[in-house]
Amino acid sequence: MKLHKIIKPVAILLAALTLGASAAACGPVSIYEDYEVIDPGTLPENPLGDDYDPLEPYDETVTIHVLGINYDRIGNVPETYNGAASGPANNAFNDAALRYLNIELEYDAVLTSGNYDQRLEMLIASNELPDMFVVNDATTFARLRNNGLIEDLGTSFWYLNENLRENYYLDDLYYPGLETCMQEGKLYAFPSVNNPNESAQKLYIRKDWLDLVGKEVPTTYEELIDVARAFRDNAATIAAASQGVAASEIIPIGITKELAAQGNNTASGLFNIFGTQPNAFFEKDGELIDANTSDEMKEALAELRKLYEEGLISKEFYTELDGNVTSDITAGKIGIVSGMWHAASYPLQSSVSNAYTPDAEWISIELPPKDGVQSLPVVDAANLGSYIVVRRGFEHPEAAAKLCNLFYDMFYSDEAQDKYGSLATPEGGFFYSWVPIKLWYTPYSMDSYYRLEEVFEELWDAGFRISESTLTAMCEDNFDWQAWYAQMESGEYADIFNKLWIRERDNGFKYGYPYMQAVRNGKGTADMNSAEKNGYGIYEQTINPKGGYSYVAELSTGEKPSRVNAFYGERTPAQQTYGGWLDTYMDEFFLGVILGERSLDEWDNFVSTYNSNGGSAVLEQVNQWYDAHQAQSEAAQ
Amino acid sequence: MESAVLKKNPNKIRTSLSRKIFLAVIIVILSLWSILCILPFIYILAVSLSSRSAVSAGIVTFWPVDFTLNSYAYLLQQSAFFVAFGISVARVLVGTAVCLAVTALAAYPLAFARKKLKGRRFYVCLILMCMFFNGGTVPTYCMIAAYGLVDSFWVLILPGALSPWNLILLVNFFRNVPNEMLEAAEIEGAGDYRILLQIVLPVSLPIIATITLLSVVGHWNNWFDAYLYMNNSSKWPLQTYIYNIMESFQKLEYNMQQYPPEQIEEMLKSNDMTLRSAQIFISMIPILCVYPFMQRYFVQGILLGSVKE
Repeated sequence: MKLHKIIKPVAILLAALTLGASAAACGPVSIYEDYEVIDPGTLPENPLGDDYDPLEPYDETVTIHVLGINYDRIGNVPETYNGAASGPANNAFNDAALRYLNIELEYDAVLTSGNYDQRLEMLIASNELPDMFVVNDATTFARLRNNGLIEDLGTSFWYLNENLRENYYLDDLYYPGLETCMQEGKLYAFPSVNNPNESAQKLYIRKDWLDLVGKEVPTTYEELIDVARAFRDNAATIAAASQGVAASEIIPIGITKELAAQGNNTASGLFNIFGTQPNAFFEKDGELIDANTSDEMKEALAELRKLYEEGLISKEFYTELDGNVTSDITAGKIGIVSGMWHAASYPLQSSVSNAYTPDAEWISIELPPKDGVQSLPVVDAANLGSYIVVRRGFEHPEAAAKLCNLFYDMFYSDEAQDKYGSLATPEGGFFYSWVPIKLWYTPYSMDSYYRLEEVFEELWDAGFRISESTLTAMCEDNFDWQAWYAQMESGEYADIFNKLWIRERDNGFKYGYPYMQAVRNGKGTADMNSAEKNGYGIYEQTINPKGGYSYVAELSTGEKPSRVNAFYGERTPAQQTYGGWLDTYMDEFFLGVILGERSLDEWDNFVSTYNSNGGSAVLEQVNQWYDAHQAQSEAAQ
Repeated sequence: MESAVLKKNPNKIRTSLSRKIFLAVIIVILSLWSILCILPFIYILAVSLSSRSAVSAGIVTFWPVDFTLNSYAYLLQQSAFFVAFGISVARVLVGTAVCLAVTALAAYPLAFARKKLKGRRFYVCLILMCMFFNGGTVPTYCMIAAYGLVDSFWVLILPGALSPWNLILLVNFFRNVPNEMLEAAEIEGAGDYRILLQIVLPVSLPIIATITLLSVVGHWNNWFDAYLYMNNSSKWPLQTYIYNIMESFQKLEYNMQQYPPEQIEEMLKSNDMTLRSAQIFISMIPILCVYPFMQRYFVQGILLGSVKE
């Protein structure tokens, strides 16, 4: 076989392609000059009138092709439904849709959360889109919209029930999210918008370590560093208290290598204390500035460098991802970590539950002031999850709203069981994760927080206590919670207990009350049994009046201040072109400075390279968006 | 000492000191390398046999801590795992049979019937092209969809049935079969199929074993095609099933922001390294069994085709 006969032309072809590509890359790229900011416009008038029934069934059965995602069954959801294996294509919600809305759901494919995005790409490419589906990222959404593949849902919007419209989408907290899906008065998706304040950072500190080293809970950044130093200097004492941990493994402050990330275990909390956040755009004197090249960022890097030099952050943090830091937290190696409101559930719950670190106890503090200046958590202006879209040309786009209404009614309404019977219970085959078209009613989290807090307080004041023997029984996997709730519903504390929504009994109450009772009785985590310890996460995140969600609530009502990352438009053409390179360049430089391989003397050089390779173009377009956006909102008022 | 060795084995070449040192170094390096390869397996085994809390505390290394068989007991109750296991076995059996049949049928005319097959070079080029280029995921998907293979078991078998690499191995091996044998068979009146089945294949056992091994391992380890083409995860083979488990672990944090607390709790429970490790370990066993039996043919098969007379 004469290979060389084939290889030669192939090599020439490849060489030509390479040359062509590099020639193209040399010329100046000017695609951003004709950047036009999208005008969201305003939603169309409500065509339905006031006496519209959000759950009105269709006269004739409407068949809708959808995609399912096969999440693992949880809790009481049965293995079989109607005699066949249960799953997205076979569960109570499908039956409810047919019975109450006259909608028949047909599943083109039942995928997993892992291969969903990839498969959706294939369906788009081969022109086999289902009638309704969920898009997980802004880029795919924009592509579908720009290519005219998805339907305008402007009119369908008014088919949503009143809570979803007025208290969710049209509320100030969530409207910016809806706005990103609008273009000249057309609405191209029902986005799932989270409360932006949910990404606000707090600091979580090992309380038992504070006691070991004889320190108080820090109230300023300077005290915090003092505590971190004490953790470092007393590593041997601390290590002796957890099984299987060496003194050399103790890390005072845990962060991941993803400097720009804003989740749990990230460096975000520290950046916020230093007055900045990578990749954010802050408003200053009427225009937006790029945080990556700001003076605050330079100072932040200098501070982080100091922390690294002193051994207060892990020597190897530049290799660590969220999972690594979580393992270290669980193992009892980390003393201080930054996280969002639910950090108590994940990752900290696994630390509290770890049998090898029986004393593990965490407390949370808001970002402490530095040099006497209050530290503000940085939050996005809009926080989007996914997008529900409808294929262009589908006859009943409003069915998407109806399905969302049905899910709302079955999931959030306390009368769901009276109305839908077993169809709305897990035992009857209803599993929210299998519902293909649904909106999480985000304000519910806040309502639920207030309700749980109030009911727990009332129960406590009324003298309700769970007996020791019951607490022991609760540790067993087979404890009959349903029977126990039934007894509470009719017992001495029924009036108070029944204020809880059915869902809250199983989530908040089951775990939260045993823990709250233990804490109020002055029990340390070391003395708690597993039923009590299991409540730590839920209690700290959603029940404790000083816990995770209370902070989100205070930020949302404006009681506490935050700093807003003001840009929430679609990625601009310059961002699409240069964003990847800029991210890498920034990341390398920042990490280099913290590790001491680069010097901050190069800062000006960094800024000019960053700006001349796309940074300025991005900032210009972001400001173009900002100006247009300001003008639009003024015009709307 | 040396003379004793010489007496025992008079034909043995005397080894110099430098040669001995060289061999010792090589053996040490190779031993270290082998240990390096085995350690991950031992770690997985140790984790799968340890208690959950010991694993999450990060204190398990190469020996189980708080020995327990819980995860294996739990796994035995999971029907999905065994369904996937069954699909993998079916895929290996059918896939390997189809692969061998197709490869042998394609190799035969390319190797021998030079006079009969016109445009042989063209076919070889066509097949070789596939070694260097492929159509990309999206066009391939569209083609598979057009054939109606999406969501069918055969999508795991047919698209990759003829591997150019296997074909080249087989063609080269066939060419070493003495022409005289073929001529003799032809004179006796044997047709092409009889020559292939009764003359060529029986003398090509080493290469058949090699291709079988490549195909078995390839089919067992391939997770991507099912991931892309199956409409339902109940039709996944084992490796896809395991890939998905590993990936859902990484997706945990993202989902946390969107789902209610009870799901977070369940996800944390399923964030269970011991169970994952048990599944991974079980999935490795069949391949670990196949390798030792086939391996001795392996090197021979690849080398035999490499030198032409």
